[in-house]
Amino acid sequence: MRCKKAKKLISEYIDGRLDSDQKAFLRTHIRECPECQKWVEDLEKMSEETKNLAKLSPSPQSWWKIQKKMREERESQAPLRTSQRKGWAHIFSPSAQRNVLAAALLLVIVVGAALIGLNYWKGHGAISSVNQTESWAKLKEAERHYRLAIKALQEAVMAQKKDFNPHLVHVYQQNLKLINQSIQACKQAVQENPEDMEARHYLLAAYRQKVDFLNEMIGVTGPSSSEKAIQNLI
Amino acid sequence: MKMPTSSIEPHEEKEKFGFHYGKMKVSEKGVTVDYSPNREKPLVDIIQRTREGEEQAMGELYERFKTPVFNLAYRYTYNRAAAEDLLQDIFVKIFTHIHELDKAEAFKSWMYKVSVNTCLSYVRSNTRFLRRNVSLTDIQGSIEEKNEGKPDTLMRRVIEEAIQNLSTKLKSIFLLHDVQGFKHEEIAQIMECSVGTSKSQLFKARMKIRKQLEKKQVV
Repeated sequence: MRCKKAKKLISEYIDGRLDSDQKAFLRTHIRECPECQKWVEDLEKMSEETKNLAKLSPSPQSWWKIQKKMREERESQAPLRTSQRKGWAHIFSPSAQRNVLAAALLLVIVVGAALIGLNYWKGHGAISSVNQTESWAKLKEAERHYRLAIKALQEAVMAQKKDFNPHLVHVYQQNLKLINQSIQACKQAVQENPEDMEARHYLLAAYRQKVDFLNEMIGVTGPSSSEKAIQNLI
Repeated sequence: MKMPTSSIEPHEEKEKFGFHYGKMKVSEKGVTVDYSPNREKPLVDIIQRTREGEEQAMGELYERFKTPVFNLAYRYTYNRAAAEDLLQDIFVKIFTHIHELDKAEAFKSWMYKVSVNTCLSYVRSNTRFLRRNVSLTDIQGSIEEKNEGKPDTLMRRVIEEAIQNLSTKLKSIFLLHDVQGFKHEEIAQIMECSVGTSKSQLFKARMKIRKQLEKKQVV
């Protein structure tokens, strides 16, 4: 009975929550009870180690995704966009046709990359049995597909860039720079530790992010649209 | 892997741009994008600006709390991808509902209440998936890598394993008290329980973890 009470007090003792009477009771009991003495040592050690548990950091992409979700939330609440009110005539404009082509190309390439990615991750279900050479080749193949998608999208964006206002050009260049830095950092991490599945995952996520970003830039044409795009993106 | 930081060319207009990764500050001196948390700024001020819809303040709030919230979410799931999703859901909820918060001083408790409830709801709906996917041995390597250079100890590994096996209620209280450093009075608010319940549940959680340590002959 005394040990049961003591053990409860030990838990509170290591949190510094005992009054002087409780402390006195515990001290007297511990002197006579080696088991409870060990409890004190164990819980103190445990508390210390718990404070030092691993502190993991979320991926840089998380903030980007939160911002994207917030934008979507705002957009779903905002009134219909001008382009939607105008009807479907705008889809026959040259810029829209260019966008449709880029979107179709993107679909083919991204589906290709996704399928490769699917096989890639399926192959990593059991890390120990995976053929490293084969998984590396799949990663490279997925990378190649993303690069193709990015190239096609960049060409589409470049074709429209003359219509961007200076603000949008500025935002575009800075965001592209940051995404490229992110890709480089991930690449470096993969190079330093080729077997690190997380680093590989981040690398593919960074490519996906660039595809998403370029895709969002497509469709922004004309000075008024550029202003609107900036406003929508704030 | 650190988030990139960069600065951009001077710009004459004082205007905030969206579509950015982190904080983008525009002044006569130039435009800077900075992800580093500014711990000097009072939290109440950041919360107020977030309530007014200021994106930079949202970024500051995220920077300040992303790591503890992510680690909390991670220990409910022991799955990095799920924890990333939870982190995003939690912050979207926080930014969307922050105007419902009466007092800025109550933000931290409120934020953890949102976090714990989001995690519990996820665990309830994904129990089978998590059981199938949580193998601590699979993630030990990644924990070691991310532990700021500190070598992992056997005791820490067993503690992680024991946390993983705790019931959600014991886990919530243990994580909030022993890992996040909340007091029982605060936990009572977050978990909507009495202070006595918080104390007794913490004791039970510690008993279970110690038992696991004993079983593995770590103590």
